[in-house]
Amino acid sequence: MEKLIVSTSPHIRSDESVPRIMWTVVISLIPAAAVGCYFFGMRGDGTFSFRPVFVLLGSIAVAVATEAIILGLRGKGARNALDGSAVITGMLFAMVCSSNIPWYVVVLGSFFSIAVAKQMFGGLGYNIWNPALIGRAFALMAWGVEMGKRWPVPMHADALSGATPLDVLKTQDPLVAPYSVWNLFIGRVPGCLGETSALLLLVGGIFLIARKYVDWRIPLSYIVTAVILCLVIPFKKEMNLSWFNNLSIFEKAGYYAFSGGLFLGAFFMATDMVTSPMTKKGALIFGIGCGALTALIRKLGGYPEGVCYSILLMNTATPIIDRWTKPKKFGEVRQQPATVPAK
Amino acid sequence: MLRGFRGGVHPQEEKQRTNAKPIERAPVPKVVRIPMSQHTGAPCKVVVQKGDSVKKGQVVGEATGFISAPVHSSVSGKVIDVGQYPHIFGSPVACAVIENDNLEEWAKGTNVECPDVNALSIDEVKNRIRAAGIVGMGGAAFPSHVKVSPPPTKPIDSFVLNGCECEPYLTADHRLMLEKPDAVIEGMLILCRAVGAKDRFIGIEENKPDAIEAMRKAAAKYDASIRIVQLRVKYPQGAEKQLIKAILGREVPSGGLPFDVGALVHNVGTAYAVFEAVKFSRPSIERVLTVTGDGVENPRNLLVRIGTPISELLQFCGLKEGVGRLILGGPMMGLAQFTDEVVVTKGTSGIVALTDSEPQMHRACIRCGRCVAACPMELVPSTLSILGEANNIDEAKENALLDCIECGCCAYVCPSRRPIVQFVKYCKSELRIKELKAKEAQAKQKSA
Repeated sequence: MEKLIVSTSPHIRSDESVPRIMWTVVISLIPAAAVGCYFFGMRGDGTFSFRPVFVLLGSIAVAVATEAIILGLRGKGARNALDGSAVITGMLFAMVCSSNIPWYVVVLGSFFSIAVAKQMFGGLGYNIWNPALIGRAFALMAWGVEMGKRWPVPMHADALSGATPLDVLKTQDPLVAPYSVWNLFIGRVPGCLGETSALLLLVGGIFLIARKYVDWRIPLSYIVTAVILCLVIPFKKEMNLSWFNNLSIFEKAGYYAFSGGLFLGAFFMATDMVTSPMTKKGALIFGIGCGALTALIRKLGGYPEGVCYSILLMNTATPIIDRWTKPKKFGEVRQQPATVPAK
Repeated sequence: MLRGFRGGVHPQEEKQRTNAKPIERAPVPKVVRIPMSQHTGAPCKVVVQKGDSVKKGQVVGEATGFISAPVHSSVSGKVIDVGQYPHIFGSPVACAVIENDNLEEWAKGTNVECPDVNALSIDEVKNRIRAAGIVGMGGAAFPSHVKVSPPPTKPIDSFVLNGCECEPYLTADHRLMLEKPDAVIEGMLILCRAVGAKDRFIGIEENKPDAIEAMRKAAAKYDASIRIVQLRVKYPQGAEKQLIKAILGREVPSGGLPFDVGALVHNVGTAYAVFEAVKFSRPSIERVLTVTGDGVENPRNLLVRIGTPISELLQFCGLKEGVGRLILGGPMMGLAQFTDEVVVTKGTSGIVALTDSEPQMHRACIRCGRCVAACPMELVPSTLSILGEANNIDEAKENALLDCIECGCCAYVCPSRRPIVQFVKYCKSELRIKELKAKEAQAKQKSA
């Protein structure tokens, strides 16, 4: 008899693996990232700038390299940087930057996401907060203007900058609707590189839900809560925009749903397994919380967009949500037995 | 109505290799080795010596204590050795080694037909079960005479015959139900009578339609009140607590046993053995098992003598090159062996030879929650794995460690390939050691 392997039970496993999950998420992000590169790469005169592509690829490269080096230094195997999770962080970070962002913001932000927000906590599985969002928060703190003020307008000359749809609601005063709900849906509006195309993010998101890699409860509860609260919470400045008030409730809902980073956040950031609750009930609470906070920040807070901070705040609550929604174990004595035990 | 239970997984069934193959008699070995520990509970005490001549069905190991069952020689012949030999759990165990004289002579008092089992008193029935050394043949090998003697404060109103065989690859119970349904039903009725169970059920997973039909016909002959319940195929439907939940809708309380909800469950193989023991006074010396896996040339269902070396069965079925793992039992809960020198015991339901090898590395828990969704005991396996990895035994105990039935659903679905069941087993054994030490310390203090 040749040497036998003494494994512990169970001796068979399902096909699932971490790399499989991660690389599938990467694939589902490609459509939205690609169309973002297209919209922000096409200049008004027909020439194409590869700058958005460089931002995307640069962020991914920095993320993977950072993870490989740190894992190597920690003795955990540099090749594990190719499990796909660093690629996801790199992509997501690029997708929440504007396409005209300086290269040093991309490099340092992507580095920060992996080195500080992920590896310092212990690596995959140990981080409390979504690494790409921490990278964005860090970059927003350090380079507020570059990150949040000069939005390139898609399909126009580089130098032209416009306001994002949410900026319009909060700080601008146009007389007519600047963007149609359809353009918002397909993504042809100013904004971050990968957040604008609600359509392609939805496609990617539905794909992940069908593969059971994303719990549908989170995006559904997040988006529904955010949209309902956005419709309900009044904001004085917004109430003065006649073109907005003349929209039907569905068009308004569409405007709120498709603008900003809501779809990107709801389908790809809030659903990050490590930083969201493990239970189904917990997922619902998490989604509702994210939605509520997003709406509050958008309407009553200082920023036009609330997705980034609402998810980070709910990440903080994830451990306690897990504890609250812990399943009642089988055979937990729920009530007094029907028969009185004999003496 | 098909009731069920929360959680569970759906591994590939892999039963098509053997589910249409009738049970064959495996060749009786020249030498059998009877281990003294074939059951949950205290091991037996050897009562034969080198040189003794023994008959088939003769006691070679006496039960010690209440939760114990005697072991018998499965052949007639001569004891050629008594000593420590490799055992299925890894550590060697005392065995009586008997050379077969091929005369197949039964011991005195065994192999005697009882004209009417219903004329026997219930105590006599229980004695016969105990004397025959019957233990649960589903795998846990718990002494059956103990199971049919629940405390008087816990009456049994429902008996469930377990024909689920939810482990992949195994088809022994399926074939037994198909080929010997009458004997199985008669065994079930003996058990029902022993505990006074009024409601009688047989639970069979719906991937065995022919067995369901055979059992239905047989049950109708003997007792029209027996209800055959067709269950959805889901692992581990055949686990006792999950079966009781699915059929009776009752949850065995945490830390409790089925008699706490008035239920009693027995495997079909056990019922058959009970019939043999009570009707024919034949002790537990053989059983049906499935030899299968992609490492076996001719997978089959075999009737095997207890004490047959695994190596002989593998030779009989043809072992392929490149077998990486030898598992006794099913692939979800069975024990991987480091040698083929171990023997078949009363609890061996299958021999699965697999050619693949498992990757060794596991990752950190990515908190995906698949294990939480899969756990049939509704625990949080992720937490147990993290606590086990951190050697935090006390907190593991507070997190329902002792409720884990070690079914393997959690580790099966884990994308990080975490050995969750191993962590649980480790924590449980560390806890046992701790509690033993605490008891010893207490005893020392008292005597000091």
